[in-house]
Amino acid sequence: MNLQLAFMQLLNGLGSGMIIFLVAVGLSIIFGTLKVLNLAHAAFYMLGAYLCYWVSHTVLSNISGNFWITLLLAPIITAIFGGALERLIIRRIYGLNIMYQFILTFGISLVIADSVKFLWGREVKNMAIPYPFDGSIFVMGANLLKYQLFLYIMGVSIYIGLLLLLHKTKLGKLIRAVTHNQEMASALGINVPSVYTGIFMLGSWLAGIAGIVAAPVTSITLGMDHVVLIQCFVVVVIGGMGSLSGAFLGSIIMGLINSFGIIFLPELALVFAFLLMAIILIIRPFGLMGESEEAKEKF
Amino acid sequence: MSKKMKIMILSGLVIFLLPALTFAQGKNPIIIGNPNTFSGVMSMYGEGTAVGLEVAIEEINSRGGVLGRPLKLIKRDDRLNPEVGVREVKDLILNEKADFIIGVLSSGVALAVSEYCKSAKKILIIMAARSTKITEEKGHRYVFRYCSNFSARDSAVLEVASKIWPKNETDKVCQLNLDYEQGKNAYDDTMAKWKKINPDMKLVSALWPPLGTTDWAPYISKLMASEGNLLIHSLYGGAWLAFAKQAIPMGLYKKFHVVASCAADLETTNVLTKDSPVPQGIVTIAEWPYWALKNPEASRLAERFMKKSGKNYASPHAYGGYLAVYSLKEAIEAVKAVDTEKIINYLEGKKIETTMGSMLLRKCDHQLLWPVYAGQLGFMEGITWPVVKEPHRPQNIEATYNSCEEIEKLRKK
Repeated sequence: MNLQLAFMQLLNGLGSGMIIFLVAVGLSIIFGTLKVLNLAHAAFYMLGAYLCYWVSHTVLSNISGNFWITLLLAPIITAIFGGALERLIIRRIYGLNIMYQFILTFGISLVIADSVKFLWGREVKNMAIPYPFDGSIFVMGANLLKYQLFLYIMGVSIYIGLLLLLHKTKLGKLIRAVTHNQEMASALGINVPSVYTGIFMLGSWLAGIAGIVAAPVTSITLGMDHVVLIQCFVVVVIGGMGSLSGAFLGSIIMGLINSFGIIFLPELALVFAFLLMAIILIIRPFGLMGESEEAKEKF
Repeated sequence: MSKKMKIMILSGLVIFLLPALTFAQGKNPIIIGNPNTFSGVMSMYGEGTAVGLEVAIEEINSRGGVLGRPLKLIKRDDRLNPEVGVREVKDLILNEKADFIIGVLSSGVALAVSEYCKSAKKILIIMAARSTKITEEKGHRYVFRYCSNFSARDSAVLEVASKIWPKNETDKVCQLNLDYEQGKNAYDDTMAKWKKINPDMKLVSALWPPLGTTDWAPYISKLMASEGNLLIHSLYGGAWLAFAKQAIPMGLYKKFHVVASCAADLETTNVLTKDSPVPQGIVTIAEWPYWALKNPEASRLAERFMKKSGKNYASPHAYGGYLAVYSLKEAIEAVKAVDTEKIINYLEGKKIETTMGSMLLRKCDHQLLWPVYAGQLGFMEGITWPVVKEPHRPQNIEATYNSCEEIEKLRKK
């Protein structure tokens, strides 16, 4: 194998892994705490991408650096939307059979998709890669998209930020307490419903960020959520449901499998990830970094 | 006559005349079912194709319909899924009593729907799906196509490519096609045709990204590391847009001559501006280059389609649909009935007058011999998005399509 190509695929795989991580981590956090498998999660990713296009092409069209302002503003909108959704609809199905979750969240994803179609039409939308990450840099004799650097920065920053939030802040302690034992947390006076809403907002905020970050390197289209949702589930299964580090590791593995699969067996590049998922499900059903039910009970 | 008697006579008249009046006003409509992709990644194409049908139907109905009967359009979303497509077409034919089916965007869906229409003995007119199989290997009496197919598109782009680029700069071929019917068909066809044009060519790499791919960097890196000098791809829509956006900064268009038969669909290119990164110079196709035809009817229709759709471009697929509805009108009026078999007999071998000249609806495969204009992508004065700048019309249009003899052989295989 050509060493230069291998190095480039390593960098490409890490870049795509970071986008997958930004979406998957929200799904994983929501599942970890709320025990809700949110099929509408990727729709928030799509919503983030469309909001990014809309804000930077209409509201802030005359402002230079509008992408960066959008990166701050649009995820807040997805977070508020997510919070409202949790309060008004999602919380009604906590503790019910998982089929209720599937039907409800799938229905919500369809409503979001149709709302996006209604608001922004069926046309493909295009976002330019923002300055200063437009263009490419020369690495080991090949061109690497500068934007990949931004993806690494975003992915790693969000990962570290979430680790700090969960392990070094009071809010993090509350979240962990609610995650491990909701009844006990409630008995100790923690407002569990508010924590749930906060978690759902955090997950939606992350999905919104992922959509915005992905928008400049992809095309913004209806249905862009479907592919990402499948990738997210693979990542969450590989990494472990509810595990932050598992989502990070799983995303990197997913990105690398895809980029190296293209070198060796391009026809089967996609299959490798599913194959790995199947193997992990057999050997370690709770994922690489997830906790088994016995371990959770011991805690 | 007493008042009571008058009321009774009037009531009787109303009772007897009302059905007759109703019948005259609302004669049984002729129903056109339009299964198309109205949701998801490719929905902008579905929307474009439907506009042509709607405009044609509005025009015909405003002039009294066909044989005094209005045309009625029923749209259905196939969700880019063969199973859903067949289900919707079944419903259109069995429950909605559709007389004709016009539409279908995806080749995969079209092949499935076509098989059903064959068994149901209903005319299916394809307006956007381009796999040659639809009218060649899998062609049958009830399927027609009112747009170009891959064979013609590939012939047109490869002919232009062979004229502008030297053979020794286009002999190491890389292929990049989506991993489904459309991509496979484009691959087979371009490989066979380019081999004829440049016998010294060799295939360096063939990549098959799945439908829905958004991250193109790993594919581009692999292409950049290859020794290829000609890239042939059939990406379209958002996939092409994302690919180009990542390929330009990575230097792909400096390394390769690129032939991209589906890149200049207006549904996609209209979002690009002179400030956007655009791979100018690639060889591609204009299905209906209304901006270059200098034909008043083409300009009128383009305006009409734009007004109807609210877009700043006219979809070429809309034009195919428009022609299909008018062909059916002509056939129904000629045979004086909505009779599938008679209409097919009438249409086979018919010359259809269009804004691009007269086109033959070939009897052997029911393919409308649509002239495919090819050229290099670039910007033109007065148009804000990139188009085929100097569209080249093939001299022998029939030669760009597989011959009837070739098709017969394929069907016997």
